Amino acid sequence: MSETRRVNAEIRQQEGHIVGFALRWGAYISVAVVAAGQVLAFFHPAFEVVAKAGVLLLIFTPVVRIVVACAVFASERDRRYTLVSLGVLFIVVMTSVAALLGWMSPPER
Amino acid sequence: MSPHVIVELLGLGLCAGTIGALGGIGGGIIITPVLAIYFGVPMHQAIATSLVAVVATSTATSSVYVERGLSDMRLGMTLELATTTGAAIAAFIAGYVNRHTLALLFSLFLIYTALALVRRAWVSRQEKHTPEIPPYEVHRYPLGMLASLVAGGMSGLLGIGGGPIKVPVMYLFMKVPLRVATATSNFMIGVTAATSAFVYFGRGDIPVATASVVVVGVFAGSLLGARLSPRVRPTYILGLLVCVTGYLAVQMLFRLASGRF
Repeated sequence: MSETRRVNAEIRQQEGHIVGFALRWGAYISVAVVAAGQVLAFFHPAFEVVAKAGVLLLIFTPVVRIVVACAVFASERDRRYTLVSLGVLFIVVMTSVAALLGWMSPPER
Repeated sequence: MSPHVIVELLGLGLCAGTIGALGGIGGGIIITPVLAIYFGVPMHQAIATSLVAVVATSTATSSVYVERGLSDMRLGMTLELATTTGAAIAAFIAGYVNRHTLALLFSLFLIYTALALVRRAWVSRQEKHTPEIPPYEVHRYPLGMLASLVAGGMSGLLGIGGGPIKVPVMYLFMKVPLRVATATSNFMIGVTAATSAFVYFGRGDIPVATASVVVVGVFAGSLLGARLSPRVRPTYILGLLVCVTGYLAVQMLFRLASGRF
């Protein structure tokens, strides 16, 4: 299955700006939360929960990126890639929900 | 954590982030073994920490490539269907695999990566640097998807990005230009690593304190690496990476053999 690139470099750059913006800010904010949380935790161990939240936020950022890309494809009426990105979103969300609910951990550890 | 451990972890993150960003890899391939060998972090936790670091590097650096229109988001998202599946399954299985097996697999992957980097260094010397990307057609999706499934699996099992598998497949088999392949791989590893990271997080395998410090280092390092990138000759970086990965492979195998893991 080969595919012709109807999308030229200019469109890719426009899309890139939006997705890149989401990625960059997601990264900045999560790392800031992680750093702040860890610094606070040195003074009071209870604050480690903030750092933990920051880590969770960090690994959520790519999920946000998938959503943004999906929205971009949808706005371009690109049905195929809207569906593709929804597919990826589905897989990642299912995995994260299952993991956070503890379904993916071995019984005794 | 004592202050000098913090400094060492920051240094590790900084180095891994910089070298990773310069060399176009995730950095996880350095972080996992160093944490396991030199910081005494249990293998599963080293992998988990590394995954989080990879998400940080990928997110930070891919924003640059994406904005320049270098990453092929469409190709990336298509292959991500496979990588995320592989990553989720592998991360789940990793909960049942013992750490010696993981360490052995990791050493083998280090050797593979060293070889792949040598090949990439060789290829990049022959690539001409044109500012525009030639129009291209993507071929061989089935093979690409299979390779991505494997790459995702490696990511979830070993705490790495998977670039050394994806880039050659995209470049050699799918007829994607090398720079696009590298940028797209960089774009993909964030999602892949995040998927596995969720599984490790849910299992409680992420050592938050260690991971926080490493993440800050890695983030700073990757920003630094991205900034330095135009000024560094790829061959030097790849040479350095080959030495580092080779060395770590030997260290890991040695420790496994002498039972000190």
